[in-house]
Amino acid sequence: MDNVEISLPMKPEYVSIARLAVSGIAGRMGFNMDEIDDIRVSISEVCNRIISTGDAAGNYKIVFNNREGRLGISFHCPGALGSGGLKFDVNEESEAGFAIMSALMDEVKCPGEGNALLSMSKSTGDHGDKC
Amino acid sequence: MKGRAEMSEQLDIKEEFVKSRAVFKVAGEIDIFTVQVFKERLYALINKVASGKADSAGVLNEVAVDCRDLKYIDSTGLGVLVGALKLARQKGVSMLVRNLKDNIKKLFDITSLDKVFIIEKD
Repeated sequence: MDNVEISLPMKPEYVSIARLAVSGIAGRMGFNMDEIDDIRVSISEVCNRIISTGDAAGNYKIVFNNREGRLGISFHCPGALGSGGLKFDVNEESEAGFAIMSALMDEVKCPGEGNALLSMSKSTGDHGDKC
Repeated sequence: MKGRAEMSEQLDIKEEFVKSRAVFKVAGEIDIFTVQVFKERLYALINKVASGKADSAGVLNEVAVDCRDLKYIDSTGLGVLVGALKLARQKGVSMLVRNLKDNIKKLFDITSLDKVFIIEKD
């Protein structure tokens, strides 16, 4: 299993970096363009919530792991979000964000596996049948 | 036809006026970073059309958001579109979206906004 980790400041201008990173990783794993678009949108929705919830001075970490064609993505932000974790029932926009990622990814867990705020996964070959 | 443009690193906006329609052309990416510019410009155009001060020889009563060159939008951008639609209705201005790419139309379908907006194609 290969892991890639990136750490980003909790600032809106860096969310596009997360999209760029996951495009490269998913492309290398063999996801098609439609699937990569789905993953790009999903990862951004989580970044949006972390930035909207957290301390603007901190960083958060995204971990990507490639396990036999399954891309796992987990989000970590020790301490900066307090004990409340990541919530998507705050307003219509955040609820829409959660609906979007739930529809586009194979699996979304909030809170995520281990100590992750949220984790999600998608396997190659899922052509969006759920939508 | 007259227009003006504004460009940021990720988002390019142009406004054009054709007969009774103000066309708001967005290109690039609308995300949490660029959404504020998108909101300010779209709301301003709706208010301008509603007040009759838009830069056009005709009488404007409609705003069309043309997404032909829009590559990406997230829930923050969709939220602005919904807010803009509410503002337009309050002001008596028609609003629609045009030329959605498949990846963006998919988001309209997931969030049921396809039932809220008039969606046009060329």
